[in-house]
Amino acid sequence: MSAAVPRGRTHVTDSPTYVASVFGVDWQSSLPLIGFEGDEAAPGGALVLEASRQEVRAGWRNAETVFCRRLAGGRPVFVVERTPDAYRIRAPRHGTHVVAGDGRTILSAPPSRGGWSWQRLIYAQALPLAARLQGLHLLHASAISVGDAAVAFLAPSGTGKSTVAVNLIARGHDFLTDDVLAVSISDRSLTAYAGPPLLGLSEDDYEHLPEEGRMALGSRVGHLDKLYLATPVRNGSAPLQLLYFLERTDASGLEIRRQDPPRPEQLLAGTALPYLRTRRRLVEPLDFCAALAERTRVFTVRMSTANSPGYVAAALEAHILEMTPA
Amino acid sequence: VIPDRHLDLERVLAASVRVPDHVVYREFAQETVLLNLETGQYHGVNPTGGKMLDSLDRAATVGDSAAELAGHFGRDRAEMEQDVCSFCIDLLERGLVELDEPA
Repeated sequence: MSAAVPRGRTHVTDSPTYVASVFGVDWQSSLPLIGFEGDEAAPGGALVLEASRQEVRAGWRNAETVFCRRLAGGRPVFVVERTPDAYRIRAPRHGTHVVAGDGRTILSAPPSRGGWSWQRLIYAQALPLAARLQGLHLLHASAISVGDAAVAFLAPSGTGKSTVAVNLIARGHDFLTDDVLAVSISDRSLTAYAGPPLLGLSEDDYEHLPEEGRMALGSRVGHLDKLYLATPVRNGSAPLQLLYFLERTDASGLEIRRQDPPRPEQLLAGTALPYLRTRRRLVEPLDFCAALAERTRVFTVRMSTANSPGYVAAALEAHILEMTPA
Repeated sequence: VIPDRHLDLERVLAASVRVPDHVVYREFAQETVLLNLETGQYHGVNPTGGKMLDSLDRAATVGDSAAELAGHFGRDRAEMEQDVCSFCIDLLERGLVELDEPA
């Protein structure tokens, strides 16, 4: 047993159990995370266990810092450390979370002031890392399902992939994930898995949606840097068929052009968690991107800054429906 | 010492090229992507570069590879020797191949 998962912390025991399937992994949690539902513990699931601060501090003196994001003044706001046995993720006011090296257990010490906002770190980093360590592949993408197909939108942060996804959900399509998409590779296909039922968008984007569109996005969780919504996830998984790389341009109009063949450097740049740099974790994205290039259809979408989100969503919807005939 | 691409042509042509264990590469439709595991950096080469890499990895010497590639592309051998030599040195500078020179 490693220092990352202390003895006796290998199953949910004396506390209520909450379960959910997120990023292709069946989780049991002793913490009532957003989207997790109370249920009987089933054997075999991966674990999120509430931990004390002492538990997540022990054994990290000689850890290697593999990622650190700092404010302009130098204060760290997001840190990932590694030992041979585990990764530790921490951020001020978001708690400290230790992910075992096999991705099967997360020890989670929430911040003392509570609330829900710290859970964004679990969803954006700890659960994706655990899924990756369990063999799933990750894209920095938002995704919806249209009919039987999963459709992913990739773009640098701030380009509008969540806005595009939100507007397509408002038009009746199903939410799959916001920001991180987990994918598994089998012999013949790629399967995309739902993320957590939490979606962030600007208040302005939300207010511009029609009333029925807002209803499809679920209830408000709270407002931080964005408005966060508990958006229902109806499909746990779907075959990944279409990838759209979104680009903003000053030129007028909207252009959707197939990448034939897909550009490997763009696919590689779309993979998530770049701080995983062991030999195996570096090679796997190459094979993942080769599979994406071979088994999905990839498009570049050039959107004018003048295009409204509704206009972009309508154009993309028409294109997606043409590419995925029933 | 990395050879000079203008002064050390004969030296490079006589050497053999080896893709070290810390480099892996995968062929895509229009690009070959090389990954240097020591630096964690990915490098892309176009289809011509991919063909050169494949030939260099198989040939006994860089000169043999240049001869094969000159035939494949219908190019003058001396020109191809210059191009292949230059390509080898580009890869050497990025730690993507190693040169085994005759004793």
